Amino acid sequence: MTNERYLVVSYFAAAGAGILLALLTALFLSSPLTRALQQVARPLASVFRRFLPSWLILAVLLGFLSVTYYDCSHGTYQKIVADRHHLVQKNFEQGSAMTEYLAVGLSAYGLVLGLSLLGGLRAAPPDRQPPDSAP
Amino acid sequence: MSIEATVFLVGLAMAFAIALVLFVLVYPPLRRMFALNSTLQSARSFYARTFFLIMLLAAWTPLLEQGVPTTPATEQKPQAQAEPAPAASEPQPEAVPAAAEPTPPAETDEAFMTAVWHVAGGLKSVCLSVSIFLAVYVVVLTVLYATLGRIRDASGA
Repeated sequence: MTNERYLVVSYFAAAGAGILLALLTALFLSSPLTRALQQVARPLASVFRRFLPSWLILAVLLGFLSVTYYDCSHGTYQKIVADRHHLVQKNFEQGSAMTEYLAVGLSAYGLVLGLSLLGGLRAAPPDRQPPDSAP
Repeated sequence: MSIEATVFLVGLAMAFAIALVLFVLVYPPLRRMFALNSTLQSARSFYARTFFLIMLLAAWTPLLEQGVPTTPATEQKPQAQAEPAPAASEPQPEAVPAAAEPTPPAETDEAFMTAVWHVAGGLKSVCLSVSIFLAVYVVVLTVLYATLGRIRDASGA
């Protein structure tokens, strides 16, 4: 396989693998997310369920697109294509950036989900009380 | 399988083991915290899975950034080419019999230790990354506990 062909194939394969990883992560979390959102109002719960795959895909794409092939010693397309090791290294960097952004996205989603659970509690009927008033 | 691929896979496996050990250590207190009320109880599975995924991704990120190591032979090739050729007037050393050359074990040791150093360097970055994401997740759990943890179910009061 020529370097140019490798560049095209690996670039789109990395993007596809990242999106697949995001979708698998969303699938892995979908059933516990549904259980977690049982006590949240239905419209908000629906938004959160639909929000998770989109959010994770956007995070992965952001990580993928944050890697550039240009650097000090590879200023032109010809120089980039001529260096196979540089192409492979950039593929690994794309994978690293995608996993990092996915982890950040999951952390942020967990934080927002906690706040939504609090909102669901406040909207719920008063069958709960703070521990200070407990006997 | 080449030694580069083996080293890379060993690094990924060790990072996975680190994430798994962290999950096993943190899960019991996490389960107790999420048993405080029914709202947290229903979210326990989501946060446990998220925690494991975040630790795994945080552990794999630096290893992927580091990439596959290069072989020592590849790195030494330019040096070998840069060595000056012996002058024609100098006496040429006699050819050494092939059986007396000790190079194969030395090359094996060098390749092995280079691989070990590569994994060790990667694990250093793994520890840093996992520590940072662990701290972030502790902040998330603290916020969760501060907002929801003080509420008790009426039946459990």
